[in-house]
Amino acid sequence: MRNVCLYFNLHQPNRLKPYDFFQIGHDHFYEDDKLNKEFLDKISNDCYLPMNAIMMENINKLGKDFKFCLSISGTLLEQMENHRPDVLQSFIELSRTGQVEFIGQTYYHSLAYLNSLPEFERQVKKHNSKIQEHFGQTPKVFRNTGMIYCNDLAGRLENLGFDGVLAEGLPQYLMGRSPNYLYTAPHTKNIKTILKNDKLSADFTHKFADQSWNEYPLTAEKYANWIANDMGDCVNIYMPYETFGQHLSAETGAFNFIKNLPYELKKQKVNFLTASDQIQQSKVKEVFDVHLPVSWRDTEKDLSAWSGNNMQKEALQKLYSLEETVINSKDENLIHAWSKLQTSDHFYYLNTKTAEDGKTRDYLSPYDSPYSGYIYYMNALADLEITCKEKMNIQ
Amino acid sequence: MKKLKVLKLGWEFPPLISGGLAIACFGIAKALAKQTDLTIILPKASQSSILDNANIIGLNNTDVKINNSVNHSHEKIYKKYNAFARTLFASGMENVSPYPSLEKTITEGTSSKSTEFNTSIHSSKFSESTTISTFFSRFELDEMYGDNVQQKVVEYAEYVAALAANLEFDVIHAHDWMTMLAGIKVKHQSGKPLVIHAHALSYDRAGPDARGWNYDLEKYGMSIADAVIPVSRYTGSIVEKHYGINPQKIFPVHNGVEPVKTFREKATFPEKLVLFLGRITGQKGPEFFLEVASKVIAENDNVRFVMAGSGDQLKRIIETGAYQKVGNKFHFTGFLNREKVNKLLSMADVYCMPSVSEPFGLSAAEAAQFGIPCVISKQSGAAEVMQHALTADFWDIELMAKHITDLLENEMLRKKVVEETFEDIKTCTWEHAVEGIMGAYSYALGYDVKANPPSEKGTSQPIFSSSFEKKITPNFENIQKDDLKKIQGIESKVESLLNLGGVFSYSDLAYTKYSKLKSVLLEAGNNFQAIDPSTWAEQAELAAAGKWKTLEKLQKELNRGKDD
Repeated sequence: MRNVCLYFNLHQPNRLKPYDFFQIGHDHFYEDDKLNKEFLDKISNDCYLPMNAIMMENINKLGKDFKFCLSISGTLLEQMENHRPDVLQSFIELSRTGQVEFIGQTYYHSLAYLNSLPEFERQVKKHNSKIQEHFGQTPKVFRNTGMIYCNDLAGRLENLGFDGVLAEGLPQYLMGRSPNYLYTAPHTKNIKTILKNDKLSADFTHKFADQSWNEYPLTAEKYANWIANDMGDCVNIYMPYETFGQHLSAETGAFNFIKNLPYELKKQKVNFLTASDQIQQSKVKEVFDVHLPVSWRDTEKDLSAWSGNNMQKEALQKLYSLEETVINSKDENLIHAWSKLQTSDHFYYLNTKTAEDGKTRDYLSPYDSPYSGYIYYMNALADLEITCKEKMNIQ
Repeated sequence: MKKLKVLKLGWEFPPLISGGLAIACFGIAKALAKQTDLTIILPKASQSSILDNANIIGLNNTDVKINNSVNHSHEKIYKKYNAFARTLFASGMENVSPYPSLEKTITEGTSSKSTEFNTSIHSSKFSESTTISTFFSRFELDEMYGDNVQQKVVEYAEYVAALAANLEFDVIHAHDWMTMLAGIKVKHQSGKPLVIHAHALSYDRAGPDARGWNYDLEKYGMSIADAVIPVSRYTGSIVEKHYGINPQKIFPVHNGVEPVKTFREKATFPEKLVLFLGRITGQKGPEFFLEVASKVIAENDNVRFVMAGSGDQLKRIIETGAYQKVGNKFHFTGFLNREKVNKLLSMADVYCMPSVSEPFGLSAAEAAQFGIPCVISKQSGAAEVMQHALTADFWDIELMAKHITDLLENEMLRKKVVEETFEDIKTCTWEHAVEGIMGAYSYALGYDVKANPPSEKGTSQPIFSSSFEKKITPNFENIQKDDLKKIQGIESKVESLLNLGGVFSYSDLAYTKYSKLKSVLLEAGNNFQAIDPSTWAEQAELAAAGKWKTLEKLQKELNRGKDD
């Protein structure tokens, strides 16, 4: 049987303004609202709206034969609610076709799993209800921030009611096995681990526009052929939705590629599945055993992109040290402000890696350097801490 | 009364300010212009660099062509300059800006340029038609230093020398290494004494082991200078001990401290605020501030530390701070404009200056004016002036942390330190500084410029130290000479030595300090070293006044003493 499952993740952080020392104590809004709106407008026009139109057109033409998965962060959903309800509406329309499965994640696209399990649980539930609110379904499959994954995560998600969890199909844990099967974490009962096919995913995301690649140009036909001929139950292709129109501009032909891909796959007699379809249809092949957290980020595929240096460690430690005070305050605004500071991007901007990983950071970061980012972040946190103290004194 | 003509060579000057140098040069110029006939040559001056009673020449808006014949003589000088550029550029030395911006931080490992000095000179050799304005118009504030600063220093010297050939002056006053080459060249060309004002030395910027072009230029410049004015006794001791300069010609003069408009503002956070303000570079001791901070925070949670400014060490310090887990109480501001600096001063509770080597430290004096108690390192000029500030060695983290904790917790102490330090700096005026500068001029010229308005012959006489290769033979023809041999102890050989040193008349001799006379004799070699000139000034005074009988009587007494 030849199956494919397409996953797209979507996320935008609330980038901070250059929050300087003089703002501590009286300016309690840390985000660059204008900049964030600009980013949202740009990505909506370059990616979300044209992609949604293409996906809708494909659904209309192929009907039940075309399906895919979306994982949208709570911070992005909020940004759309506030600034671009039209874009949110186009996602809602996609969901109404019944051909889209929504994948769970932490509401604030955070690193809560690594820092506070109660907070992790709170955010998973919050995200579930947000997805229910807009799209009328509750996620059954989960994807953690940065594809951070380990055995323990799978077990905890099982307890939270999930049927499946996505993970990076890292070769050192596959040990020669194919990622195109369902796996399971040791000591779990029901939850399945779905592995991203890293090679085929990266062939598109990283090599599509590379003219020096010997397979250039990559046509939808060629790509469909590769998928059809890859051994296993189901090929899981996973990428950011923003790949289209942002990482790969319209000029590269990425939109045409995704427009034609479903037809080429049909020609090759490849079926489309959602994550939940796959869990129902396929049998677990073997155990996928990952003791320590891994991710899909940077060369190391570990946690170093977010917590590799002392600035990141200090920022994270300080942030989560405020958890108890913030949550106990029962002040919704304070909890929300603290939670938004948990978004992984804030820590990612502070990494001091060089070479290719450094270039990727500089491309994504709104700051001129990780050091400036650290200064703004710590200043904002200092203000939040003062607010916390004031709350405690009042109580 | 004829005014002393001073030729001042500056680099930074308002409105072009990148640090304390511009402020100091302006303060000195303003006060000096009241007493002297002042001409200032700057690489770049603008319409707003106007000063009453002073003639300011900006090379960026002065058209002076360097013609062929001058160019030929330059060839020779280039070779000579190479003598103090034997060393290749040391690592990091090519970026010698005392005020590097955070953005231009030197990337370690890429700085091992081994360009030899002469290469950069020849590449910079201007064509016949190059005018000053085309070269210097390129100067923006951040271009005053930067990668090709040495080229700029050399070209500045060329143009200054060309300009100075047509100027009248009695003494050359050069500020820091950027203008030293020009000062040397003009002294060379005119035979006029050179006074070097040392605001910051490569010792301060790069540490005691710094060698290379900068150090060589400073050492050479100060050794041939006729007087050196360090901005503190602390810097004077470095000039003497580290550069091996004759202490007799070192005249420490503290900078003036302009009264600043101060105000107090309440911080928007409940904690007390301890402030570090300045370039974040090794010289300022930022890592010591960080250590002090983590010590104080461990004892007293009700305090925040702010490190304001930027510099090549900022990134490292940020990471170290994060490592020490003081990030939530330790803040960085990056570069701040004047308005923000004042705002910070208005909020601060303690000012801390842990400089490793600080020639003066104007910022501490400003903080004191804002009513902030200061904790400053002993390795600073400010500690000499602000005698009631709390001091510690820059490395003495314990004591510095104790001082800060005491000031935060003991209101009586805080008040005492604030009030008394405020009184201390009241005496620091530019007028007072100029008194000291005049003293250095007097030493360099060999007569008291205040007490005795220079006579015709006295004013224009070059003073050569015998170790300095004379390129221009002074013209002695029109000078009225007295027979100095009438002074007991002066023989004809000694007389010609004195003439070479600019001493021709009895009154010249009367106003030449003992130390100056002794150094002329010492430099002349073994035959003259035993000669004691201690009575010459007294004798010359009588001779100048025509009191020959009294002189004769004195000489007899002197002889008798000798015979006994």
